[in-house]
Amino acid sequence: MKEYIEYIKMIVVLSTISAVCGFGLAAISAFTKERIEEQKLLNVEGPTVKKILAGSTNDLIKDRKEIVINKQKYIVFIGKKNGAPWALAYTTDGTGFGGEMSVMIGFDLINDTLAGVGITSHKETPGVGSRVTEDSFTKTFKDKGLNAVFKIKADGGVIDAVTGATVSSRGVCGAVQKGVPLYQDIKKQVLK
Amino acid sequence: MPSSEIKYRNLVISSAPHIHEGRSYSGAMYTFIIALLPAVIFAISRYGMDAARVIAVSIASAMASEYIIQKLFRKPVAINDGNALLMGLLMAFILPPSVPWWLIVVGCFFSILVGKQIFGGRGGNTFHPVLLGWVTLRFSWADYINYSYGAINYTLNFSVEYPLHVLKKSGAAAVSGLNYLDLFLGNQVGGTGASAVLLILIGGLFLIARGVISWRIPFSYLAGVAATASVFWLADSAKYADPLFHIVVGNVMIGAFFFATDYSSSPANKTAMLIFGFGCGLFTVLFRILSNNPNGVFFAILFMNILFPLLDKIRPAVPGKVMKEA
Amino acid sequence: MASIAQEFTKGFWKEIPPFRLVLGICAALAVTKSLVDGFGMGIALIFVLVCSNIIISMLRKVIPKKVRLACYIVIIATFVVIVELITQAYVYSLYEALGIFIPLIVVNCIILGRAEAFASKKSVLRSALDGLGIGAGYTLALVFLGALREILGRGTLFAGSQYVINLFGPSFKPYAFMVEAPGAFVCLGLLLGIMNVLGD
Repeated sequence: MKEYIEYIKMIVVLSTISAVCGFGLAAISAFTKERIEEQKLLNVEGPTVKKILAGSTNDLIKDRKEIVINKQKYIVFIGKKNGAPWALAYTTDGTGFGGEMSVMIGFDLINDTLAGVGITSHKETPGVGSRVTEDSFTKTFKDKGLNAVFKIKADGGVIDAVTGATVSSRGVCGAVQKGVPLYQDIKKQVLK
Repeated sequence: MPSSEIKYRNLVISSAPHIHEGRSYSGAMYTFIIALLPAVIFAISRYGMDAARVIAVSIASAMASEYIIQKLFRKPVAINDGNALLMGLLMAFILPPSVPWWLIVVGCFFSILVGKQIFGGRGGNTFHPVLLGWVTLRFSWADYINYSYGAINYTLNFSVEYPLHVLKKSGAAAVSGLNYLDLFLGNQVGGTGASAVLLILIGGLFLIARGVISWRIPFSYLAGVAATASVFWLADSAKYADPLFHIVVGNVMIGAFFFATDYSSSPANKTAMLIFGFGCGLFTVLFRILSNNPNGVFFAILFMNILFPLLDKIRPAVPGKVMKEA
Repeated sequence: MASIAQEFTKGFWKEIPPFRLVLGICAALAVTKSLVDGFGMGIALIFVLVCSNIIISMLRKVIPKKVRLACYIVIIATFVVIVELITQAYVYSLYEALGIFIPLIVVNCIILGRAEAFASKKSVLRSALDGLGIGAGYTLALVFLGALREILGRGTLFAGSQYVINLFGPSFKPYAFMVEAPGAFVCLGLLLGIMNVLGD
């Protein structure tokens, strides 16, 4: 009988501790959730957004919208000049040499052209593939029309690949190709 | 007993007094240094004061480090045994002649402190001390110890690009035009002294003739390089350089004769020596071909240094032991 | 029995975790690329250590012996997750620098060691002081190691905060080996050796 009481005590104590800890964590998690999300956007995508949508006068992180297309969620950043939206940016992914890479594409709403491209996260080889994150490569996308063929020149496109980083360049182009067709839908939903 | 000698199989066991043959540790060290002297003269005649400066700074800082550390550790100061001198000279040999003095000092200090004394001084080091020092330099100041960058300020009557860099960058076709005899005679960019391939080889053969090192490690090293390079070359001769190129270029010669044969970081048994040397050669070529880094020799030797205690377990059975352990 | 003050001060020299007890080495090697990172890790550890010591000491008569380790781990893990969430929400740059090593505080042997060896036997006050002392000693060690590696490997001090000091001017070429992983082993090894010489 004594043994049973000990077992029950063990179960009760452990369950109680776990339950209290669980509730505590849930409360803290709920309390910090919003701020963490904001911090993530600010630190991971913030710098890129600010570069692509340079010239905007609004708080880019705050003025974001979540838009669902084909059941996939996109976080769209909206750039405004004097209160009127002039550009938007969202992230798609491509496959580079080292694995998945996240590429943010910015669009100019007035001219319907690319406002810029930036790589938010990647696993490319430092010093080789990682050179696709440099401005000298990403600026080649700027001001291109939406009908342009976003492939590297070796594949019959209009983009100069980074020497020695063909696969990584292809990865960025792939992400842009994936992102461009979504633009019209997203634009409609954003301006609605 | 009429005779004090006991004969057992082919062993002779005799009691004292014995006659000492006259060999000593420092004698071996100075033989190493004598073997390197031709290359020293070659280096000074080619790179002038720069080479003399690198060698002088390197030897001075290695010996000073040894002295300071032995004083600090309250050990008997043994800078006369020639080991620190040899370490300094070897360090100078594998650095390009243009390295700044502070880089040599840091490299030598690290070699002697972490590479040698921390492991218990001479005879205790598991890794070749100079190579450990070199690796830290490679991590920190890759541009300064880059052979191609180092040669840029000299007027030389041959290509001022390190042949292995050319191979890595432009493929086997770019190096097929090089005259191998020229490379062998030392007309290539590389370490201050290590690029004098022929003189290093002569020095190495001198060491073997004097009985200071065994032929097993260097020759199995060269065989390992040749065999591994042949495999690649035979598979695709347009993509990979031929075995002779891999032997005459870079640090293979100095690695085989002077680094892989370091007493305390290489095996002492015959079979183990052969495996050790061959492994060094194998990894030299693998590192050269498969890694981003054109240099393979030093990493290969360091890698085999890790394995040598295991390799030394391959040894003949102890005579007299009849009972099998059940 | 040691005096209350001694419970606090022993962590600084006699039982300084990485050097004397050689505990918590994994994190000590990995996060000491700079002084600030080391300090951040130390603060995170102090928080977890003090909180878990207090709670475990409070519950020491309730927790049955057979499931004590499970209970300790649940409590420690809770505080670790709290630290993780809070750093993520308020000091994101530190969160990025410490990365995987915040969650790994759970298995940091210092904390479980203090829980098992100290907090489960002593009063709440003593446990809190013990946690504070050991944690502060750990922080001190990480700061020292971080500063040493940062000075040698980068030539700066306080990198990662807004008070960066460039110690040797722009022409200094840092000994970058020291901020690499092998440099951490070499640095810690040399410090351990020096501590042994000084301690005897």
